[in-house]
Amino acid sequence: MTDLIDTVQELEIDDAYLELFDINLRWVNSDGDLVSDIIHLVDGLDNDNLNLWMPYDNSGSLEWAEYIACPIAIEGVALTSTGAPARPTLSIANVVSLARTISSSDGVSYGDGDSDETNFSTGGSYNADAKTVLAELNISKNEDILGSIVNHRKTLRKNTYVKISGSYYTYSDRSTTITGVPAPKEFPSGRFVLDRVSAENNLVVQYELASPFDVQGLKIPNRYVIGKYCPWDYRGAAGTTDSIKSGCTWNGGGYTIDNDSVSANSAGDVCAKTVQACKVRFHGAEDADSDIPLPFGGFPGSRKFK
Amino acid sequence: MSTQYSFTIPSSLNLGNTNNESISTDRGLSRQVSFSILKASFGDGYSQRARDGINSKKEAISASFNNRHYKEGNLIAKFLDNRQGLNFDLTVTNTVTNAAAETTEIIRVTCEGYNLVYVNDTTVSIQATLNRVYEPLA
Repeated sequence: MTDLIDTVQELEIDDAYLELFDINLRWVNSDGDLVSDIIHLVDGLDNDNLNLWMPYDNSGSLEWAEYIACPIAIEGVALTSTGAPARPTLSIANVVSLARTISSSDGVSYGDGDSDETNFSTGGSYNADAKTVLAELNISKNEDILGSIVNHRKTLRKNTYVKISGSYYTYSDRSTTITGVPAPKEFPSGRFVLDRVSAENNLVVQYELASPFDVQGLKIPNRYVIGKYCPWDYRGAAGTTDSIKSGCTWNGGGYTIDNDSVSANSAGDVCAKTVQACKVRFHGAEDADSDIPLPFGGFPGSRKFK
Repeated sequence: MSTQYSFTIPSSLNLGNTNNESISTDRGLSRQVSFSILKASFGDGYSQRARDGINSKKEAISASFNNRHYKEGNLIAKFLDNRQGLNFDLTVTNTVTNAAAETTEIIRVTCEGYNLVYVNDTTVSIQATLNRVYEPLA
């Protein structure tokens, strides 16, 4: 970052400004599950027909990402301190090319650094047509990937890498091998949500992007403030991590609605959704004094005082 | 010298030629180069500049094939017809002063149109504009 600041302070920046796109593609697969996968795109190809590589933060760990050359452009990125946040436009020429990088039917040796992933055609090593790739992912129209998150990264060309014969090199120095995954040097990135399809024709599809805070109908932190009652699913977090439905972690014995007697089996197991019901379970009694925090989904402090 | 401005028409395209034909352009091949520069202009005559994107050099090349034998001219026209919208490799010189040996570079170009003139029964002329692209070979 210091290096970047040093460079951009100069009037003559002897380097190229690049925009990279990490798109966390979200779609509903044929089983009806919401799935996601990160794809990496850049709007150009290296002169030697090599794809660009750049480390990225994948849930806390740095990993190499191959940026596939793709006709993609973003316009209207702006920061304003007043009024509504800017809604940039992301234009993509070929949505199919997004999907092919994560489809198993594309038949391309993905991740080898060569440019063969950038072409979408039949013949040669590309043995899947667009319809097959999209059908496999169950993406049938442009609206199917709405809600995906775009990470708009900006850097200078000298901070990018290429992969030649399995080894990584910096863009400018292709004789010194890079070992390990270096920390990416980049400008602060911007995150946007694909909010709606603003235009589409036979050449490009344009998505209107929204700030994650500016998505219509979304409530932050996505919970209703209810004073007396807990809206969470009873025992919602008692199972495995795959089936967490709420923050209710109770996995002990069952209680009846009266809250005061433990039933032998959980046949009559009902929660009254009140703080008292929570205390009976976690503190042992409705009036018990305990330091154990209650996983109560309501907001008791928001109730009116009389 | 002539191979320094040339491209090859491979026989594999089935255009009628049984051998790979190397076609040289006429003298006077011109390369119109422009750069994509991001520029922020400030006050009294100074600005900050950076290159825009990976490939910031754009080139338009004017190539002529004048007074060729009609068979060669027809082959060139057929090749450009075959490649319309597809790219092909063009070899140009890039030898510099005091270089030890003659060197060439291969740039990838597309042709979006050409002008074919039938000069007489046995002679044709072609003028074509080629645009440089940065992409895998079609």
